[in-house]
Amino acid sequence: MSEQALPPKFDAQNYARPNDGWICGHAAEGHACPLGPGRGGRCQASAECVPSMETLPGESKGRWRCNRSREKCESGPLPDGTCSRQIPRCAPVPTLRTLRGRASRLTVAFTCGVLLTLLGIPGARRSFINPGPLSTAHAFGEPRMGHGVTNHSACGACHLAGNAGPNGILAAAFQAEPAPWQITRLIEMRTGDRSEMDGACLKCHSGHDFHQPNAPREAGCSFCHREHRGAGALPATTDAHCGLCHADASLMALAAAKRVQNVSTNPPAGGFTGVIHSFASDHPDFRAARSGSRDLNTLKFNHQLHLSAPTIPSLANGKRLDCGFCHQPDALGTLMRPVRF
Amino acid sequence: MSRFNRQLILGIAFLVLSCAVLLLVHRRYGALSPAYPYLTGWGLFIVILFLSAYNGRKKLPFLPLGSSETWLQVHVYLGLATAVIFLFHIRFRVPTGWFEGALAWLYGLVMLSGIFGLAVTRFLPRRLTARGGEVIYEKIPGLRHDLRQQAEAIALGGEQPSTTLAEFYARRLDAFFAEPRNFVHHLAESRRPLNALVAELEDLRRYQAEKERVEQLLTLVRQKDALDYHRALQSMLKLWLFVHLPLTWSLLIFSLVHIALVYGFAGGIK
Repeated sequence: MSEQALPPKFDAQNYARPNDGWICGHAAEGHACPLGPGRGGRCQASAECVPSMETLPGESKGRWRCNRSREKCESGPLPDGTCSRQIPRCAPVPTLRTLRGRASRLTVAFTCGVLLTLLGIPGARRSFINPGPLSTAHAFGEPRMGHGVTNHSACGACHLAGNAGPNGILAAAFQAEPAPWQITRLIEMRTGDRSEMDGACLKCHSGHDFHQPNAPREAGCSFCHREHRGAGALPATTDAHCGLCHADASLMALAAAKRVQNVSTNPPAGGFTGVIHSFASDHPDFRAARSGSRDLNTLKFNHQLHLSAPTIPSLANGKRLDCGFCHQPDALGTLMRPVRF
Repeated sequence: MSRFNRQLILGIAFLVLSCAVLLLVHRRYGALSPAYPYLTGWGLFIVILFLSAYNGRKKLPFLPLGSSETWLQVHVYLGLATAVIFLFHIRFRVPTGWFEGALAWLYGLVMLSGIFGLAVTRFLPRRLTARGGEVIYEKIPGLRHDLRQQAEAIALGGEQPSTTLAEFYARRLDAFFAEPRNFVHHLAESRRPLNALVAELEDLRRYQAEKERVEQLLTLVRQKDALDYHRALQSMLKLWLFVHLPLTWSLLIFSLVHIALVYGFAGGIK
């Protein structure tokens, strides 16, 4: 193993200006000119001096004198007054700092170009900005074009700026309620408050009464039912969403006080206005599982008998009936098809 | 306690405390506040803007805005804390859309390049110090040129030119001195290529007449290797910014468009 060696020493007196944008092209040959490149990366090399005209008393023409601060050069200025020792020009080299600036500018230009292109072309825009596939119920049964975009009016079916271009989207952003600069209004928003998007839900879901008439307060649809979270059913609501009302004793008391006739039969022991915090802890059993309840469905079909009794004939392929013979998922695999015989 | 350790402890304490506060806020308001995604989004954007301002601060050293060292410490620990705000903002859900996916990727790449840069700036200077010597990156080509001139003069010149040395120089050393070499080996702290070259050169010592010149060449070869070592490590110290800075600009542009889209699409049809 050889011993460690140090790199060669550099001339510390020769100031390098590493923060400049350009390096003299002769630096790689070890003799950068002291003047260095200009700001735009242009070589500033000219000559070792600017000769001066010296006219002695009694002379009319005078002569050019070398103006070098160090020792005067032997050859002296040329007859036309230029220095005879021209410094060879170079092609200055950009520093890493300059190259990094170029990389940043290129990236900015590329980013803006890509965004303007994708946002400017309507078909591309809808696919590009769609945050995720719509639920099956809101995809309107049209052929899918990716990310739930169904047709050219799909975004505009719900969003005010749905069919607008970049200018329209920007204008809509400034007219939004609350506007982007109204941060305090954001902070003041109450849990479950309706948003501007909820108005779009009511265009189809007219007569919206928040599940049932005893509800003491309105809440935004989109607060519990999140869209653009994938094809299929809307994502399940959480205990926190239900608990917005059902875990609030004061709201449940108000609901009980409304006393609107509830069509349901066989309510739970505490009625429908008991305080519930979550399904896991204090939610009462569903009616079908509650003791003393009976299935209200009038269809008499004994599943156990059809799946296991020897009197039920086998299928044509010799297999016995199973759940999947009747209950088939739909094309998206999220809901079940109707059973038809 | 050293200054570095004090800064490390302060930074980690800030990080843990800010994460704890953010977690408490998330648990209290995350699920129920309709404004929560907006507020976390604005918070994230403002923090990213502030982090980006560090680059501007470095370009304005004459302004009394605090030392660059303090800015760097804040940049590092606040930058790490943005990961928590980001996760809360996206609600731990992987974005599914093209635009949001690109935005998330940009954030991730900026964060990862920043962590890489942090690691590089912590470890590589120690290695450079351990190796010794001091070289300004921009002066390396000039120094390499000088070494090459000297090596050429020794191998090809002199009162009694040596065919053996000249042939060896043309075959092995010319390319070695002409360009930076063994970048990856230097990063990996491997000296295998140098040892191989030195072993070949030492073989030439058996020619008694060339022993002295071989010794001189060996010194130059080791100096050139040390120069390449400095270049490789200093390149890593500088090149990671070629990813971090441009992507930060992209992230800022995408974030602005994201804000415009979120507010633009917040309104439903009437």
